[in-house]
Amino acid sequence: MSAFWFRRLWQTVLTLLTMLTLMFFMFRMLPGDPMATVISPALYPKAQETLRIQFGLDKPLWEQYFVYLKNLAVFDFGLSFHTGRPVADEISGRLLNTILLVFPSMIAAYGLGALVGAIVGWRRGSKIETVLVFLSTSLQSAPVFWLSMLAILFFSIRLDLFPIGHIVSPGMFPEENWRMYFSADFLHHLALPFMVNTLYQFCFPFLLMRSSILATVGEDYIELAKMKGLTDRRVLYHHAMRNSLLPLATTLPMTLGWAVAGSVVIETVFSWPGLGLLMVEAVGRSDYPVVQAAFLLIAVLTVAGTLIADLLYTLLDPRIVNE
Amino acid sequence: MSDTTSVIDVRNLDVVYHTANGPAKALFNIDMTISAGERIGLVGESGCGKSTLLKTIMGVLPPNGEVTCGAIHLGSTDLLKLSEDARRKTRWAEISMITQSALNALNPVKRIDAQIIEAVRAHREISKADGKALVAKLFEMVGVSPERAHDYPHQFSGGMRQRAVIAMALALEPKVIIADEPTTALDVIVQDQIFTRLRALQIERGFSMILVTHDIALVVENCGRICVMYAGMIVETGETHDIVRRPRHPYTIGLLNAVSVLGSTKEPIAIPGSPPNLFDKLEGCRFAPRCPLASALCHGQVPPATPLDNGHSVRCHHWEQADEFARRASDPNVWGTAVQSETT
Repeated sequence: MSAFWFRRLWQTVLTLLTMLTLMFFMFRMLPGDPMATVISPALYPKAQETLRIQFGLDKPLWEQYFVYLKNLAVFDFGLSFHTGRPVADEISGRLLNTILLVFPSMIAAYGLGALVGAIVGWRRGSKIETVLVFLSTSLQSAPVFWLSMLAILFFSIRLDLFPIGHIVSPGMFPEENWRMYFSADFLHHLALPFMVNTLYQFCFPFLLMRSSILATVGEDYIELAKMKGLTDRRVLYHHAMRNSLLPLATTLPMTLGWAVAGSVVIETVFSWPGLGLLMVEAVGRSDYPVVQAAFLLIAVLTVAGTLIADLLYTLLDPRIVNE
Repeated sequence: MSDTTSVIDVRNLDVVYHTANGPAKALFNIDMTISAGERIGLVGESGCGKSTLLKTIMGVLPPNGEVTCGAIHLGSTDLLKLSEDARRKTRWAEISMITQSALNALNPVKRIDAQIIEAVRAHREISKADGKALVAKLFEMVGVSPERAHDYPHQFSGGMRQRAVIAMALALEPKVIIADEPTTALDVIVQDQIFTRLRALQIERGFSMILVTHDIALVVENCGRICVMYAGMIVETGETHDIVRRPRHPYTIGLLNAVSVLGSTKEPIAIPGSPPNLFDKLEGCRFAPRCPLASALCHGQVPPATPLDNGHSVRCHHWEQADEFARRASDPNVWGTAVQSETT
């Protein structure tokens, strides 16, 4: 058992290292000189050369690679080309904004999806099932930006219920400190993107849970549970749902990385100052250190999610431990 | 058999499955009485309706199954007339079940003791300590170390799992226990151990037992009475030794013929052909297409249940020819010609 976890941890470290390396070299293989935005070609060649040496760009690539690794080890991601502030500071606030938007809506979507999917699958063949399956397949294939724009159009502009974007009303919190997150204004701004994201994320767990329940309903232990005289609800919640939850519980952590990466679209539409919006901005400004750090963060989240999924599986399914 | 001792009384039961291909007439005109403290065997090949009958008795028919007529009396109450909640309360408390594949009958992610206590809790309050004591007692009864009660199903061997399911079936001391092919997945030695234990428990506790199987030898060994089922009908029923010694229905004769006997040089003979398609319009005797004795009467009219002596009953127009037929039934050609004449 501990050998399994040791191996699993080792694999994770290896994956991350591979990713780091790939990302480092990929950015340096891109056409065009990223330094062009920082070191103006209009400068004297002598001055350009001095700056290059200052940035360590005169060293061979492999040496730069090790400097990069060494800096990463102490969470030094370099300075943003755009603001000149440390990338870590630049990103951390934005990451918090994304997490506040994405995590609650993912949890709501998965909780709701699991429950509704289970009930609908349990009562196979109802009208509601047909409608919900149709709706969620359509929703899932609809582009998020389009859904977001429809939501803004209808709820913000037509009904004037929610603000059309941003995290708080402009000028409310000029300091952008923690007080911002505890204000009603913040929740008001959060509501619409939260709902759109929840709705969009709802489809996958809903459909998965429904098919998972359908596969479980025919199992002998479900029939036995009924024959034991358990109430229909107890059979559903304690047996059918408990066992059908396995695929869902393991996809949730794995999708967290994607969800953060995928928030790019929703954040852009709602001008939500999160990691996604930061990435878009940074790419536009060729702010390579920021982009690189953001990509790395998403990669780490995805890998960590996979690890958590494995851990969850062993907790939820006692049969797994033996392997 | 007087009515006072009958525990379950199934009368004139018809069950239909509604499917995309139309209705399938799974059970037809089933009459069956289970007396207090008796062991009765229900025999028939796969698909003959054994499981449907059990599910109807337990009240767990799939949603497309419908009881179109009949009654199932448990004591004096008709189970089919009870509300869903009242019906639920009779499950396991009055009639419990030892299921076909104990491997899949236990929920893989729940501990075995929890699954047993859950069954008890569905019917009455029980404290943690009492529950633990009960499980320990039950495990001792079925011959598994109580220390293992807190295990998960996958940590048990096939035989142990079957014993755990038996323990579960005994938990509420029901009047009737239905054993649905309880040992199909087990090797013969474990099978024998389990049946020895089950018989001892039955005698000690005095519950009635319905043993459902396709293995007629198992029934002969374990049960005092036999019901032979074919294509949704009970074609013959009676005391085991009567039926083994003098079967009255050609199908029963065929079934007994198909059993291989250790030390005998006689080859077992299978009945050619296959049971009728339950989607077809079934007229007359359902066995007629495979029956060497079949006449025009058989194809046109359902044979009534004819009562013979000693509670023996048979559904065959030609039961009087059974003795003569039984003598020549060991010749495979007798069966072959029947199917041929049917197809030509």
